[in-house]
Amino acid sequence: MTGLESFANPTTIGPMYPFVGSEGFLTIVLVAAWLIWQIWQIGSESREMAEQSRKARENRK
Amino acid sequence: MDTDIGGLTVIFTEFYYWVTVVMMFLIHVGFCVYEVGASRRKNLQHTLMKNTMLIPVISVTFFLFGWWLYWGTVNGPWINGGISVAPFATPWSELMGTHMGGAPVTPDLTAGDTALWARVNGVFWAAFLLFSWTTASIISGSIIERVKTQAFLIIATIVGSVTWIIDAAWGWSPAGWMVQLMGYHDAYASGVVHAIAGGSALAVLIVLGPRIGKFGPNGEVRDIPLHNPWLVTIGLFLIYTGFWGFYAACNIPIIDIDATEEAVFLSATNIYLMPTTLSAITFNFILSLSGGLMVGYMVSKANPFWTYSGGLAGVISASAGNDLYHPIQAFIVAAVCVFVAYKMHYWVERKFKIDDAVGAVAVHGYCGFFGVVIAGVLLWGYPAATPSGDPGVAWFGSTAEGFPAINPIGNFLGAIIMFWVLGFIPIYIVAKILSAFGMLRVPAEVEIAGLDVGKYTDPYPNFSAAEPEFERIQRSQQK
Repeated sequence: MTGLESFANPTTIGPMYPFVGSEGFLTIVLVAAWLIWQIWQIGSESREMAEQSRKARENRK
Repeated sequence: MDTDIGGLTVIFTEFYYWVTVVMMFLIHVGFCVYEVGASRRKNLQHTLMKNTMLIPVISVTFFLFGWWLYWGTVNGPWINGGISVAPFATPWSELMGTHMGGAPVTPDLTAGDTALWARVNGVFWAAFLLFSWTTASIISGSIIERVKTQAFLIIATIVGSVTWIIDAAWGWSPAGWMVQLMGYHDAYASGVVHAIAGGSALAVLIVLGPRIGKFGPNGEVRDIPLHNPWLVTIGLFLIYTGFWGFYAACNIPIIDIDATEEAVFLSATNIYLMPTTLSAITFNFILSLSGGLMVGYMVSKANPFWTYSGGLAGVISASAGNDLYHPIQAFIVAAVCVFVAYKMHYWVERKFKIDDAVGAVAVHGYCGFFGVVIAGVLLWGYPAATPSGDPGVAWFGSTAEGFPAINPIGNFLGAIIMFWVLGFIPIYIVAKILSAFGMLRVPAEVEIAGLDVGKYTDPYPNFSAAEPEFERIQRSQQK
């Protein structure tokens, strides 16, 4: 079981998502995903920009 | 939630903010459409992706730390107290997830926290997040056609999830130290969203430099034609629409404002929990829009771009006091500020060679700055907020009841804090660092060829490409 098994008494229900208690781990996952994506974006754009720059210089010759 | 009226109030508040968030999404749609229209054909897909990707980057970082900064830094910290405790706003809080409001699982929360925040935390968070997108998106338009996406996304993260939300904590919260000690008043964010964005945009523009060919060898200013003026105008119409939702989102929709225990007086309030009405802000939104449109049309001689921008600038100018102004006052404030901002835009462009592609510094920065200053004069003596500590301790005057009073000095200093201290200075430093690492500006040959060229296919494959006059000038300047 990952979370709740009954909605019978709603006034007693607090957090409803599965795996309550994993919030710290989930936060670490989100921080990692953000930083990895940001670093990937910088690298990817830099490589593409270098290629665009090379092609633009060739076209001018 | 334990009485019918209490339950309905909570559910209504939740629904109200949800609706405002959906309406405010139109601001970002408008910015994307507007910027694409303002870009040339060879750059428009790069422009679109740059502005689109601020959505996930700011959303993630606003979830991780932006929301906590709003609650944690209201006192400066260490200006009017220390760091505030906000266990409902940390990314690992159970209240940052699906929650019914029952007893908390984690020890740092109380039953009162969960009862209050379970249904409003997400929609309130999202309302502020949409303000974050807007603040960053304002910068985006001014720097199109030569900035790297990587630099923009770093700047957007800092503005959207750090500097703007700290300024909101300081000046856009009933407990903020600027409100409590300076009597700062800025109901619909002339300063806290627009002036800081304008100041930040100016900082990036100075470091980034103009587009190649924008200024001639003798300093003459060249006009760079828009790729599609109709998209620009539709984009600005969408921004107007979303801005109405923004106004509603800045209010608390229903709360008891009677200070006595015996009576109940339900009303909407502004962000400072001081009374206003949706009716009032609707009057004032429309009249300030009208004042801006009329002066924008007049000074630009019916130029569509500046007429529409004038409407937006008019609303921004009056926003600081639009919770309390008379509609005709809002009209006059808008008209005066738009005239001054329009003249300042071209003076700054000529004098300092600042290439602001969409006039964002003028529309948002100057109008936001002036709007805050004017509100401090016109609303002089009104209560800014209920004292969060001892009454009567505000630096520039208090009301007879001991509330911090709105005043010209507090709002003038507040405008400086927004535009220069939190807007210009941090982003100037960041832009300098990005420039030093070669991350800020695209190479000249890519700028000349077009940022889409070699990466995207032609967005208009069935239309022949025409080379306008400016393109020939730009190409010749490179030789």
